[in-house]
Amino acid sequence: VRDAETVTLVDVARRAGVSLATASRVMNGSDRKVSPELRERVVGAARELRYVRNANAQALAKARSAIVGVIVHDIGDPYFSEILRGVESAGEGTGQLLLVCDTHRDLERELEYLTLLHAHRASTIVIAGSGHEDRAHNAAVGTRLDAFVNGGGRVVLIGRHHYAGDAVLPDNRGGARALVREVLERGHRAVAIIGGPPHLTTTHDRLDGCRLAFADAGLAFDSACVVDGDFSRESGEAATHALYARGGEPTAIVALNDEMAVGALTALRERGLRVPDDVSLVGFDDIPVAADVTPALTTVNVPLNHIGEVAMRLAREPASDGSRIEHVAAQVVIRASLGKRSLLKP
Amino acid sequence: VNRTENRAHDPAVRERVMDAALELGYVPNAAAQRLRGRRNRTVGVIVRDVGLAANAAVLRGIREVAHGANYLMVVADTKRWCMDEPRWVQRFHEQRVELVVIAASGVDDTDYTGAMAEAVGAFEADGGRVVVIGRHDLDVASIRVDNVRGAYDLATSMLAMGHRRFGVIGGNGKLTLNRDRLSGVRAALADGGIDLDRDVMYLEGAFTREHGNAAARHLTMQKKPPTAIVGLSDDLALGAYRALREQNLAVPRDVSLGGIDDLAPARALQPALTTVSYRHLEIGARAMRAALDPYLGHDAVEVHYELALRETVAAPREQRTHRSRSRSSRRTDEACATPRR
Repeated sequence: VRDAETVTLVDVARRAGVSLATASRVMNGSDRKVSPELRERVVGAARELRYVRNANAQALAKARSAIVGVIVHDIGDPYFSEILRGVESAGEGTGQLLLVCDTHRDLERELEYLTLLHAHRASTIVIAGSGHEDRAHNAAVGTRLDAFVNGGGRVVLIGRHHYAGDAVLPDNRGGARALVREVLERGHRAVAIIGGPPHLTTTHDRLDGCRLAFADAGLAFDSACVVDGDFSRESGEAATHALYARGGEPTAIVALNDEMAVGALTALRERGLRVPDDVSLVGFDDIPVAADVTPALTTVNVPLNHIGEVAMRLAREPASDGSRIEHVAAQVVIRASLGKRSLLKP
Repeated sequence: VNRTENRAHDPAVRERVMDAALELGYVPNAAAQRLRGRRNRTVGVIVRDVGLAANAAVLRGIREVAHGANYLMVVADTKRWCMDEPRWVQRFHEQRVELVVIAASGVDDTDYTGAMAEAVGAFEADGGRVVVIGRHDLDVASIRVDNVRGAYDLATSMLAMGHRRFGVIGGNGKLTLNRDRLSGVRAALADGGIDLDRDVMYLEGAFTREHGNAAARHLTMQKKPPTAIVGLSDDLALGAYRALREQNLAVPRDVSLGGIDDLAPARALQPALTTVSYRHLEIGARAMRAALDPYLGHDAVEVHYELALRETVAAPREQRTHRSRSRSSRRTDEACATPRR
């Protein structure tokens, strides 16, 4: 048994085998119904662990503001701008105050922002940035989110995170699988992929979808076809140049987001290659500019505004026992940048 | 309170609300204070719409310098409820945020300016530092760009191409940003013998792609549509760009289009957007540096601009001007035209 000071409601819930919300209802005297059997288990667990309610946290919870904190990886990335627009429009007229934190994909900074939002008495934290494949970091995030939820805050996650909470899940894997299927069906075999940051779950899931599409078509997937990008426009441009510099001759380039695809388009133009006559190019997300570039970009529509709206809807509903997961479909949008493989080319 | 601040025209009511708000700012939350120590290395940034490309670039600039100096950056988005801005300054004050950057245009409104002056005054009196971007009527450090001259140069370059029929798409008319850019266009056209207020269709709205799109549609539906459209921001011009394409009007062959800002999408388009390059990344970076530099005092830092003459502005087609009186003849003409490339 740990020191009573550090025992949190999360520990109590775990020991009792109930959700945090249930434990909170029992310990904080909510008037929502909890069965006598569950109540007894929670009270028993609290006694065993010598749990003491944190009055400070409770005072804060009561004085909770209308602040909604949104954590993004890059505030300049249209992907996040569009999600934020959805969050805003869902909050219109509710007096919601939006506070955006930009981690620039720095793990340590993400933790600092979580602490800061807690201290700013935010009512809700939306983690709009992708989850990480990093165990130690996820544990640290979990501790902070638990403390926040414990104090009465609401958490909503966008994308796949290693934290049990309400979440909005775009179908990154299915979208990538459908996208690459379209590429392969047009005869492309020399396919290069511009990947995202390797530790992000979004990158993982999208790459996984690409792999599945190859398997579906009975083709071998060579991971050497993946060049590194970091989801920025500049990295898409650099990766494309690197691809050709090392002697690659793809007939199709798949960028794992639109920003990198737009960067790739610039690089291809500089190299005198025509899209899609010489090489096809596809992106992912369907940010507004995807339809405006020439040729217009074939991509996967991720309804970003909608995702932001759904996240806020989840945040406003009363906390439930389990985590609510809202799945959001991702649809391929065929535009001019994807063509058939030229028969004159290898 | 929000509603009251925005809508109350009765001065007595407003005063009561303001007093209450100020009082809230001066009464620190004890529980919160126990959790925190001294003033923390955080910059609070206030914007009106993080979704606008111009704001995104400024925020990236601020972030670069802030993170480099080991400061956290929190961005408050007021969704164009500008009376929330003084309240955000107070909230930041209360949370012991050290620096505040107001990355939103000044507003020509005495209530707004008064409330802001009070909030930033209290914040600075308590050892914080505030920097504003753009023309604000506030006694704090500022980052300035010459919006009047930038817009003047753009419109002048379009006049020089031979355009006489203009359409202008603006954002919120109360913003100093909009006023300055509009007066630049007005002055340029006046030099060319055109009276903006009498002879030019000017459509005001919000600084969004959506408004640019709707306004451009409206302009092209006119009996004598303009041969040149000026968007007072790139977001407006990008909306117009798409509207023109959707109506099968070729840019710049059928209509010339100019924006102001020079954001990343402006260069990615084909044809690339003619615009005024305001270097938003640099503006953001300079603002953060000014916030970190107490020796700057309340000085203004000027960031220069240049005209980015790209591909969306060309000479008007004189024959087309005569033939395009009716929409049907325009269609025929369009169908007969040889496609480029």
